[in-house]
Amino acid sequence: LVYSNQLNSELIHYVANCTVLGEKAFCYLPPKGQPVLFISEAWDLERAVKECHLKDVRVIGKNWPQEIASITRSCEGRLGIAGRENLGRFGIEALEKAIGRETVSATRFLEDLATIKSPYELTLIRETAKMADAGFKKALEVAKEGLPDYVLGAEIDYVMREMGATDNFQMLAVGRDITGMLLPWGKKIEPGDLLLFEITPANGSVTYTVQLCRTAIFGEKPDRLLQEKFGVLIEALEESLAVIRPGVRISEVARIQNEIIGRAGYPEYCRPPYMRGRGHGFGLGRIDVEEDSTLEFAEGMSLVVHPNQFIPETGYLALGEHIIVTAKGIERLTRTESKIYECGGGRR
Amino acid sequence: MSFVKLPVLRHGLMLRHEDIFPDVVMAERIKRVRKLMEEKGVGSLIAYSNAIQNGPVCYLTNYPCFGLGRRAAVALGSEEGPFLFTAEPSRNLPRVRLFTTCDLEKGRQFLSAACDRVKKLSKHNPVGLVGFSNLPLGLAKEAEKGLEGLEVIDISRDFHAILAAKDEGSLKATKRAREFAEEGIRFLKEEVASGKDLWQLAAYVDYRLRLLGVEDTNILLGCAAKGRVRPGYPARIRPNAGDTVVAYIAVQYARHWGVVGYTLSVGTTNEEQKATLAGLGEVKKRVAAEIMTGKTLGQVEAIILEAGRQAGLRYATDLPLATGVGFDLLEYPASAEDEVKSGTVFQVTLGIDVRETFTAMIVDMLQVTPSGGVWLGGSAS
Repeated sequence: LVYSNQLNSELIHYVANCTVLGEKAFCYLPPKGQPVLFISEAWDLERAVKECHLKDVRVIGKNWPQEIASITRSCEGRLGIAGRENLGRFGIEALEKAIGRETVSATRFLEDLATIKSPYELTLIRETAKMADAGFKKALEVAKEGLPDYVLGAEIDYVMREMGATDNFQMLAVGRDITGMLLPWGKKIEPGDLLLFEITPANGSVTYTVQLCRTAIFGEKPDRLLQEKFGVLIEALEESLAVIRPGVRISEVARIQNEIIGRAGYPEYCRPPYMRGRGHGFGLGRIDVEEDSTLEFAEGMSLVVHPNQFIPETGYLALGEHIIVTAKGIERLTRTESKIYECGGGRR
Repeated sequence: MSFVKLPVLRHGLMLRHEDIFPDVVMAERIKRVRKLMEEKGVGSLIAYSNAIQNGPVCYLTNYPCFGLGRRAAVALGSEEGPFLFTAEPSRNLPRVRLFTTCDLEKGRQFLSAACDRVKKLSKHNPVGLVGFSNLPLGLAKEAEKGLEGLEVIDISRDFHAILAAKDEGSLKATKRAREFAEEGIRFLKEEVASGKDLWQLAAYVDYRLRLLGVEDTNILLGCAAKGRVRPGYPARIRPNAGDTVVAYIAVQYARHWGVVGYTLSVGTTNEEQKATLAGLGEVKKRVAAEIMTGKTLGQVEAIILEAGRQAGLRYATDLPLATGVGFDLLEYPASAEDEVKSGTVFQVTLGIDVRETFTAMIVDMLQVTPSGGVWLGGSAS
């Protein structure tokens, strides 16, 4: 049984190719036979049927435990639930009472399956990368003096939405001496401002997300200090990407980046509260690029690697590449060059 | 509709909106909750929110559960607090400070830290719990450990009733959000015949609204040449001349949702559609007077049904008639027996499938007062 609420809709999307509207959804995958999808909104039934292509889609109401029990009865043994943790205690108790047996978490099982993307999933992810490139290109085009940050965000979102992006886990910051990514708060672009982007479109599900982290300077050319510090991030990115291939520990990427940035004089800024991970996957099949990660790279993994860094002299700087792990190394997904960008015309 | 939108990250303009929520509004809320605590005999209160049910924490702190952590807890004592604890505080705090003046507490295990605080605040009295039935399993265990040995009382229902009875700030924000939603319908009308598909239309409306400074949108559209149609996750269908488009546009502004739904015809509207929509408009006018403070949600639904029956209209049964809306798209009152408080705002959905030839649907917001309901956009909107 797979359970999703709005916070974890990627689970149902993975097994049923259905976007969860409403409060909750379940998908029952019997050992043999057809899956059954349960959704919670009657008005959404026709759409859900069309989207998922499953033959058996039902609407559940307040007596959902009984409705699920009625179809899981024929299955013997414990019932594995992916997403069980999010059902909450009352949900689990109600379900176990209705089915008359124990349930166990099957979330890890689904997470492990989803870590390696199928060729079809990789196609989706490559499409998403084009959206991210378009979003960044648009940002550079529209940036002008006095433009508020939320308008910049809207422009990026719109161009990607038109290309089919279903969401954008977007973080951006505009200003000087930025300590981290912010929400749009009405800051108007001024000459000399840094524009920081984590452009993160999703394609259908958050599992098929790509992230592009970049930094631009508005109305000025980057001075020597900024170029030097950004150069450290480029070195950290390139050196860490160079080691990635199947069988290499993921922690190695974090170790290399922290070593290079630490060597440049910022070892204490490589730890919380300034920095945490050096990359991650998205949605189901999550990967964390941290020094204590125990996982190894494997062909078909999709993740962002980002040496984003707070540097006292310049403020926060963003740089990151989304990659797919291939048999021999990596495939860079976005076409946006890894460098510091200038926009709004240089003054010096 | 009871579509629950998850704001992954609020993409739009996020401000504290001091004009809407001055300190005095927040102080009044705290006072109201403390009165409830006293009535229930609890010495302190701990409320949990996530990105689906923002209400409890947002009511006391002006902080919405968005983005990275998507979860938060607030601790309130009879004299101290509120103290806000967010997931992923190191990354969230710079943002949180943009819109809350509440005391912010750091601590990676936010719920354990909130439990510790509420324990100290309770002074050996029972602790009131809000929203704990929404805790995922891991956090529920953490909370159980954190509150071990204390008497706890779940006061969620009463708390939700308080926040549903909108105060001046919430009402202002809700009205403004609704105005934006109506603006969204206008943007849609302008573009519906432009050749864009439903997905592009939703993207366009979202874009236009974001330029106006809204926090987030939730746009559901449906389209058909003939027969039943429902608003839904926008498909890549292009509306053609003569098609019916049903639209549900929800807009979030100052942490509150505003909703408007309407039925559009591409090109000319036929007379029967016009008459049906006019009929729904008449029902709207009629029901308002009868929906007043003290009714239950079940009674409110019965009033709407009866008004339809008298007008000879049979509503589509898969559309929810009335649900609470405010901080969240689905909030108190949610059960048939829930009593409606003064200031509660409903989203009312009136939808009809006419002889399988077309659908007419309107959605609007009704504020409940002791003397009857008031449509936020006016009864003729």
